[in-house]
Amino acid sequence: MSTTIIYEMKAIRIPGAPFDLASDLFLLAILSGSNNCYAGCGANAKRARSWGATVLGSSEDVIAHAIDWARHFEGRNTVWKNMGKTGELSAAEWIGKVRSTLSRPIECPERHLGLTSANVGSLTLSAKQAGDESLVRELLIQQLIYAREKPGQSAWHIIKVEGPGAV
Amino acid sequence: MPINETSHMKVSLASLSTQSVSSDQWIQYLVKSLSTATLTLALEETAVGVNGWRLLRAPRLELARKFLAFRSGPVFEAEAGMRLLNGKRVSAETYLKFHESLKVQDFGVMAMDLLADISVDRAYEKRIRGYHDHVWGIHPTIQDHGSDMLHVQVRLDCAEAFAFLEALNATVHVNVTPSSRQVAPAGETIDMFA
Repeated sequence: MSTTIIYEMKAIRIPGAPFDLASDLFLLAILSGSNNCYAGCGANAKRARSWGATVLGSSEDVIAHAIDWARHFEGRNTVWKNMGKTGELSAAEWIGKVRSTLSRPIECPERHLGLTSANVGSLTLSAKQAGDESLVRELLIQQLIYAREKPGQSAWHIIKVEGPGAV
Repeated sequence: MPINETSHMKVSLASLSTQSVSSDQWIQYLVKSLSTATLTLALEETAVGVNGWRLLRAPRLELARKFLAFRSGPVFEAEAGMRLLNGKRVSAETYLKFHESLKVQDFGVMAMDLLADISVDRAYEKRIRGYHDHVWGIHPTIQDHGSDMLHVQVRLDCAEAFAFLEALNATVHVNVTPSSRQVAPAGETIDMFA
């Protein structure tokens, strides 16, 4: 059985107005990987990890996801940063980390929504599928539709996130 | 209208884990694993009165209403202000920490009966009678309406009943009622049905 290790997360605040929303949106980007999946070999082998944009919605939506996700921390099949004792978070600690991340978001300027690849802080957002030239705005709409159709499910397959720390 | 949790009880199933119910190794494992299991119950009130006690959390059981879930369950309700803790609105984190901090009491002092209500897939029908060579010593009520699912009710008052639920691999709804048993006094929650 594998364990998911979450190494880092960032919240990106996206203005709600272009989507006819009264409040801003938050995209939760997570750097994560499996405990038993390695990149490289021998002494250079390191646990593989990549960024993903799992959740898009209001801050309440993101916290609702965090509450659901907390079950995986309680079940010890998701840990924070390492496989040791300090990686084991309680449900409250995990939700607190997500709330803290939401409180210091990276701002995504409205003009970036019209690009096919947008740099937001140290992260770059583009389409997950190779050759897809969708604008960031269109990708976000796809993810909003996915969230409405499949409430509570993480969407790893729509937006590609590139950033530091990926292995 | 928010639900207000006004009294709480957390009980350990450890005293049940020493009961010997079967020579079957898997059932023995299920019973032994009760040593770390707890149940958390809350007395719920709304503006119109007392709703009664409800089982909120039972880590070893697949409750129909999960404690931690997306936009449902007690923790989300607390976060959204639909559920209060002793009259106060609290965050999900505060709510969870409060529940973690509850003093654990022995299952035997609980002045309540727990009746598990489950729908069991007919594929698991044999397991209602027994598991491999083990014949259950408990006596569940079974309703067969001829559909794919059987409706089973069992009183959760012994280790075997908890093992039975796990063996059925079913989602459980637990009804909490005042106890018909004589129990020892157990602090603030003992007079809840007085």
